[in-house]
Formats: sequence, structure tokens, C-alpha cells
Amino acid sequence: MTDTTSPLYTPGSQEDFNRLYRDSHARILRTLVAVLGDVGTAEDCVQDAFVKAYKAWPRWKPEAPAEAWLHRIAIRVAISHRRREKLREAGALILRLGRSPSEDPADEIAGQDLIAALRRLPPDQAAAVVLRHHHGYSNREIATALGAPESTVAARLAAAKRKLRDDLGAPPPLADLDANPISGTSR
Amino acid sequence: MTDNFDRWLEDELGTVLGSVDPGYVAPRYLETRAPRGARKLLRVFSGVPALLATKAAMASAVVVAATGAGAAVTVAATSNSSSTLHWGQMVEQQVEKCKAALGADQHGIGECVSAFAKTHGQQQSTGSPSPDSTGDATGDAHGKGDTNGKGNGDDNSGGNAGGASQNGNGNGNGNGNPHPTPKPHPTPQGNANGVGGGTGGGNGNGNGGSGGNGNGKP
Repeated sequence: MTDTTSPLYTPGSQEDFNRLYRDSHARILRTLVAVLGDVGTAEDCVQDAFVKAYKAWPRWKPEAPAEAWLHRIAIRVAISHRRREKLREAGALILRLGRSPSEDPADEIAGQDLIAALRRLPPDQAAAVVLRHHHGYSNREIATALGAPESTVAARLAAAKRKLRDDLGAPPPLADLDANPISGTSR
Repeated sequence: MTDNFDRWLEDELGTVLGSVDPGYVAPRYLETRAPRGARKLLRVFSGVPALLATKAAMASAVVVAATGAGAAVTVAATSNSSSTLHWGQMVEQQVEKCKAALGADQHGIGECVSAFAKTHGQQQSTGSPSPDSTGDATGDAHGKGDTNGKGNGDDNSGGNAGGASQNGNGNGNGNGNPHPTPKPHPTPQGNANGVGGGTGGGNGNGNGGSGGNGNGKP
């Protein structure tokens, strides 16, 4: 995401908020999928986030990119959800014995290893990784989205990548990457 | 090494998250909040019942202060009827008429309004007041009524009177003492802001408006 390509929005405008929803819904959903590890839950949190954003829309300040502002709200919602989820986990663990964590085929995501590894990270670290390495946010934009100083963002990114590397193992050699060029990023 | 990992990470995220295609999902925010204009309209109308209740209570308070115990019973009975608002408007109109009828150097519209209220009270007297409206009060009652019908009066005769209530469920506390002389308030004015609950009774047995309840005895 770059500022030069950011569309212009007017705070409080219903039409602009609808456009913002259309433009950013999928991207915010992907961020929350990485944080929460589940499409259905992520969609639920995204909708909650848009409800909160809609209420605050008249007070939105155009100095901050609208999508980063939305991301901030959405990540807070996701963090709250994960907190509540942890409280429920103890009881749910007993009910889940012998079953897979997700039994809805619609919620299955390819690359479960990476998603699972991201989900083991603190939510703000997982979000920082996705914002940087999937959405292409700058450190400043991530700082806006996370509500943290840029220096903190850099530290969180470094810590997150270190944990991911330890968790997932070493990436394939560079030669393999050159043979399979990057595709699918939304930058 | 870091660049290598970063490229791998971007590639993996693109593959994994790129497969998440939500399509169009109907936004939930449209269901949860009315447009701003509509909300303002709702806010305006939400104050109407309270406003009407206040006006009715004010009108009732004016009449109670002006007309003495008999009128208080009338108001109590009338307040419990469905025509409370209508009665309040009638009283307001009567007050305006009485004011207009006064000469430039004349003061006081108590008698004028009292006559009107008594006439109306006689018409209503065949109906019985609610069971809660048989309170006692003594003396010159400057009760403070509010729209909830709770009132307390006090004066040198020690009377407390319940204020007029829109629904007849007010609270009043009567602490009568054997003061022999009642001091009914002479005019209906000056207590328009929800003040003026009950009226003085001659021997410690007055009417506390609707909901007045006491135990004063001479």
C-alpha cells in the first residue's frame, strides 16, 4: 500500500464508506485470517470492525490512510477475540478431544503450517508480518495500523520473523526461489 | 539469509492468503445503525413524552395550589383519566384567559382559575379518586411535585403533601400536627415549575394530590 495510490475519502460520507468497504474488505480479511487462523472467525471480526469503523467514520482524520485506520480497528477486534478465545480454550479442549480443530471444510486454508505458525505469534506481530510482507505496508503505515511507534514496529517484525524461522525451519535455497518467482502478493 | 527468508515469506503469504477469496459479503454495519438524520429525528421525538408529562404536571400543580382541597381531589381524579393532557391544556388556556381579563393595575388570577377548576371539579366529582389519593396534609402546602408524582411539602404547620401525579402513583408523607389554622395558598402562580403538590387542610386532613399519603391528625 502506498500513499500515492490511496483513494480519497470524506469522513462521514456514506458513499465513501461503502467504497472503502468494497476496496479494503478482502485485504483486511486476509490480515485477520493470518492473525486468527480461521476464515469464518476472521470474517466475523472483520464485520465487527467495520461496524465500529462505521460509527467512528465521521471522526476519521484523513491524515492517516483509511485502510491503515481500518486495520487498526480490525486488529484490535482480533486481539480481543483471541483473548476471549484463550479463556474458552480450557473448556473447549475437553470437547475437542479426538477431533480436528476445524471441522468445517469451508474454513480450510491452504498452507496451514504458515497460518498455524502465524497464529502462535502474538497478534500484533502476526499482523505486522502480514501488513509488511503481504500488503506491502511501510513501517509508518504499520505503526498507524498497530497504534505503536515505528521503532516498536521494527522490533516486532524482527522478533516475529525470528520466531517464524525457528518454527517453520529454514526456507528453501535461493536458487529454488529464483526458479519459482514470487506470485500472488497484492503489492 | 534475511532477504531469502523475506522473499519466501512473501511468496507463501501470497499463496496462502491469496486463496482466501471472500467474494462479496453484505456489510453488517448497514444493519446496525440508522442514518444520522433519522437518529436525530428519533432523538427529537424521544423527548416528547417527557415534555408532555411535564406540561401536564405543571398544569395540575397550578390548579392544585389555587383551588384548595376540593380541587385537589378533582385534579387527582382527572389526572388518572385519559384526558390528563386535555385537562392540562384547558387549564393553561384558562390561565391565559384570566391573565388577559385582568386590568393593568390588577393582580392575581387565583379566583378566576379557581372558579373554572371548581366547575370542572363538580362535573368530575361523581367519579371516585384512586385509592392512593386519600392522603392527609395540613397547613400551607408548598409541596414540590415532579413528574413522578413524588412530593414533599413543608411549612410551619408541618404538613407534607404529595404532588399531583400523571398516573396517580405519587408518594406523599403526611406529618400532621394539631395546628388549627389552615393556610391555603392564595394564588396558583409561582409554583409552575413542578412545585405545588398538595393543599392545606383545615384540621390537618387535607388532600395530598394524587398519591398523597400521610397520617396527620389534629
